[in-house]
Amino acid sequence: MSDIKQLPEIIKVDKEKCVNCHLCIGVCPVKYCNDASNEKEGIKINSNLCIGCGSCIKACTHEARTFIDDTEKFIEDLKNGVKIGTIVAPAVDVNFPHQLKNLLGWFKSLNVSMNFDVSFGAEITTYQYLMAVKSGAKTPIIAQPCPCVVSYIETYKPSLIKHLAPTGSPTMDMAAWVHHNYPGMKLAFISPCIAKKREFEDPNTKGMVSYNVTISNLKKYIHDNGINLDSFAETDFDGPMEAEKGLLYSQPGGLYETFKRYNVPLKINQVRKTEGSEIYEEFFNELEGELYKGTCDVIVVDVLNCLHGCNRGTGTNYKERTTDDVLKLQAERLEKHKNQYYPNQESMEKLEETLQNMEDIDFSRSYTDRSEFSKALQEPSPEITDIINQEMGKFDKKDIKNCGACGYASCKNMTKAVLNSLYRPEQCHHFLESFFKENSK
Amino acid sequence: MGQKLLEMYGAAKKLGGLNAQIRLAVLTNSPSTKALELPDSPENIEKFNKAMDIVRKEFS
Repeated sequence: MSDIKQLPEIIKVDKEKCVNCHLCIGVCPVKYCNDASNEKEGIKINSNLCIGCGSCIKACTHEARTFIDDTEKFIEDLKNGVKIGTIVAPAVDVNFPHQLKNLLGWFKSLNVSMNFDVSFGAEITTYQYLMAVKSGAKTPIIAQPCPCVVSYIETYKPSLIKHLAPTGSPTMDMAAWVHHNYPGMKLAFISPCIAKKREFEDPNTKGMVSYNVTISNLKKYIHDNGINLDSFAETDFDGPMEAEKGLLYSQPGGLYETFKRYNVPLKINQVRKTEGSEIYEEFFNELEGELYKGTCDVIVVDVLNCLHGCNRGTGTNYKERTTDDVLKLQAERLEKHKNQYYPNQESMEKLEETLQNMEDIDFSRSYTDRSEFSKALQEPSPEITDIINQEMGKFDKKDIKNCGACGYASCKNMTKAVLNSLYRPEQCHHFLESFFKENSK
Repeated sequence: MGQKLLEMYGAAKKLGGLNAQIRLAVLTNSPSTKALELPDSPENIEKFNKAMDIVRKEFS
């Protein structure tokens, strides 16, 4: 048994609802976290191989996959008098349009001690990246606000671990600041992301955040309990100060927008912005290749699992609004903020001064090589692939259809699933077709 | 030629369906379609028996 801490389960499978259609495997960027070997059990998930991207939940039309968060525990603990502060993701504003301050007021009515804005955590993070670049950190620095990216690299691309930013995510940086200034307070992250639960339970993040409260489940609680947010007093965050461009961190490219403030002379090809499934299918493979060849010029990688960033993350009600709606709301907030809090150079200087005066806070972050879990999967040799194909009635090139009906995208990938006892070969489209033809003669 | 080996494929399939049959093929490095071409030699039978022991453990 490995000494490495098991990743917490964040996706549940309802075996009564799972029809073994394999759509979840089809959209899964890492495939072999799904165990489709037992029809009665439904398609189970191996949490140590799952990166928590949430694609399967979105794809499942049978509502067989749902996520796990801490909303219920958060509310229960508040009722029991536990001292809890919230740290609120930048994505919350666009998911509660024009009600963010009422939401903070409602939290206070629930006895939340204090509320903090993770957008300010993003300002800290950006400043820490700047310091890392200046102090000669290994480039490219892969930004890691996204826990799916961290899980993916730790499990499947260990050669890139040394490139993960040596400092925390905006959430963790905000949490570090709060713990430094208000020790003893448990923190709940109001979150657009189901995978953040993993970041919080990772020993490398020092247990600074106790609850991952998703926007989606929070909205459900508000709805189910007939709570009218507008009836709660508008309440401001409790410090340290308002964020500037950090407000944009939840959208693709937000990091660079914030980074630009420092006038670091970066060329357009030195900041790589990428998001969505492309990151697993292409980007990380290409980056690894470029680093191997020594041809990589990238300084900062701004990478997110979700195509439209955290604003439409896995813990939000995705279909509630379009990306254009989101961008409009974010632009409005940014403009209002700029006018109200950052109207002049003096206010910018105050922000810089605040960020510079945090030297005594530990924002560092380390990582764990979890690749033993992916390396435990057997890779089929060409000979074994041939043997498996032949047992499944695939004797010629024309039988290798790569139809993807199994979810593995290619017959070769499917043989790996068969070899690792993760797939019932009787489900193969070619096998079924051959079997039908043979038996209907 | 290979009649006993072929029977072992039948036994594997009965035990755990196509998955067990594939497992036996992988463990012996011989697809079932080639079993008839192999001789029922003591070496082959021993190799298949050992593989069948594993298959039985995994699929029973």
